[in-house]
Amino acid sequence: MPKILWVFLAATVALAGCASAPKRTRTTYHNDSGYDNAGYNSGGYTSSNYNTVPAAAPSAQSEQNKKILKQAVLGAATGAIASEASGGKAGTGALIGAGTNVLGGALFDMLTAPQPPVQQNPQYAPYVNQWNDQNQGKKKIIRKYDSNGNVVSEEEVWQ
Amino acid sequence: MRGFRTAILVFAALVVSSSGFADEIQGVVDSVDPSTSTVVITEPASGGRRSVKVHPNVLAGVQTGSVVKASLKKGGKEAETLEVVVAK
Repeated sequence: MPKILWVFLAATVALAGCASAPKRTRTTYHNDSGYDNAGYNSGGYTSSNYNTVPAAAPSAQSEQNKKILKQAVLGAATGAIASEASGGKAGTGALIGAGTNVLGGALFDMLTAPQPPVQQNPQYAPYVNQWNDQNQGKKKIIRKYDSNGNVVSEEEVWQ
Repeated sequence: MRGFRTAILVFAALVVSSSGFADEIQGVVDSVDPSTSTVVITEPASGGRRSVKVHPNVLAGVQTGSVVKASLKKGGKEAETLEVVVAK
């Protein structure tokens, strides 16, 4: 009987350390008609009717909390059983087991978490080419005539 | 005294020789007259306008607003060479 109490106590301690998932609400405003609820047009200064609806998807934080709680309970049970089997105090074993499991789980998660993809450097080449096209010197073609009206030379000059 | 005379002679020689150089006009074509085959060039530096006779074949590539540089024949208004900026 005391073993079960110690296991329960360890689980409660682990629970107390877990932050509860915040309840999120989302406020939506609807005023398509331009009239307020009483049916009067107040020239754009209408009191919009608004509804408060709960957010739909559970956050990742609550999922993480559930995971930590599960690890704590499993660790407490394992610690209590191991401690009792080895002749020690079941309560102390449960507490140590819970803490060890939570810390170990967190460490494991940290080490095995998928690495974010390496951010690719932005491709500057198109922008550089575009900038060059816009800002490069304008091309001039200088055509040179002689006294007989013949084209002597034609050269391109970039300014 | 002799040095001064030499200097004057050198200066006079320079003046004489420079007068033999071809004149150059650089500016924007103000008007084109195909009948006389002349173009009137406005020089942006001085604001003056000068009429230059060119070869009729050149007129096809010259229009009002063209940037040109003409080097004139000695003692005349006829262009020896004409450079036209045909594209920008």
